[in-house]
Amino acid sequence: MDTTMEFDDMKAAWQTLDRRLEQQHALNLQLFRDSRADKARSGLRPLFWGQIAQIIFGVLMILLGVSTWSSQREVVGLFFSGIIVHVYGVLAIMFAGITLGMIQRLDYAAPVLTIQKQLARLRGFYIRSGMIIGLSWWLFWIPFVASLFAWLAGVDFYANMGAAIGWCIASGVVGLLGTWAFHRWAQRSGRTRLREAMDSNMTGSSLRKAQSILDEIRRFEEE
Amino acid sequence: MQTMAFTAPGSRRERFGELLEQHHRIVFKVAGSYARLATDRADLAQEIRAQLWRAFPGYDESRSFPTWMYRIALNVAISHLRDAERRDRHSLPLDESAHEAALVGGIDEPDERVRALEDFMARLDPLNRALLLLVLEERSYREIAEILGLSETNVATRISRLKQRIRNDTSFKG
Repeated sequence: MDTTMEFDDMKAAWQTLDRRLEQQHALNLQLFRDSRADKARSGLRPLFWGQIAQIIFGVLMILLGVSTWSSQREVVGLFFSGIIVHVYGVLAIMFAGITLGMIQRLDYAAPVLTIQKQLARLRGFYIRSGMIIGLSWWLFWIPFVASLFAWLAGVDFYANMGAAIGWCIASGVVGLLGTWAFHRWAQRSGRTRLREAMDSNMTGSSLRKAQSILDEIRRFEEE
Repeated sequence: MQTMAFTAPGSRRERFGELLEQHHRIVFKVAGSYARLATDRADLAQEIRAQLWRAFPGYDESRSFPTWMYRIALNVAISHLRDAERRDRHSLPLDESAHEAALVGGIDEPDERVRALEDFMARLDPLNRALLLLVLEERSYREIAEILGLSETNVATRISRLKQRIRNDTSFKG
């Protein structure tokens, strides 16, 4: 016969569970003593090193950009390509710096709601900035290649490409819009496997997850 | 703020070890509430200890150690649970509790109420799960408010709702 559970039943169950956990603790104690707590993995460590890598990448972009715009002031296309590459490098460093700052400010001893909100915001910012840095390559590759050629061989990429550069820009715009439209279509059309594959590539699901965590915290606060 | 000031790293480690041993149940209870599989629970307990050790230099000794410990343990456990949900989206959960009881030997017979408690906890979102754990641990409203970052009035309202939910949503074979 099913009996309704009262809070006191739950407390009694909790005490039973407590005894069980205590017995397991005694068994696991030796394992704990043998391990060094400060060497345990940290979930945020890959994110930290990823941002350091992004800063190094940003610095390289700035060097390339500055080298191009400072040496190609007479060639308008190359001059602006250098500026774009420079700005891209600054943005990459800025986004990585903000993410690192958010990681450093995380204090796990803060109240649960505070820290969980900070973590969700960190995740959201990281994913959005990653999308800006990543998806911009649909068009960014053009000034990047132009700057790289100018730096390596002093070649004017645009002069060599002629009218084809227009097609490159058009295909970049189409690719960017197409990626966005295809992602929306996959999300709305109920194609689960396709959507999941795209999400894992574009971090769309992670972004939704970060948002859902923030919504969950908000609901909890408003309950 | 008066933080833990130790001249030698060894003394800090010793003090940390003492405090951790004194309140070790907190780690096991939090890990037990947020991870059901033994291996996952051990990982989570280890992750909590690591985070406690990292945060220890900033611990203000004029404040309650268990409160500080609960905050860190719950924050780590909630993040761990969310990561585990993402990792295990396609895998079926395996209930090991009965199996574990047999493994460790001499542990209480499977209890329907314990199973009902575990099921109820598993259905709660991570924040309400933290609240239930603190209530079951008989922490004061003030302490719960301090741990979660809520007002005491808010805590009281939530606890009364949680008790109502227990009555409505849980039953066991008596």
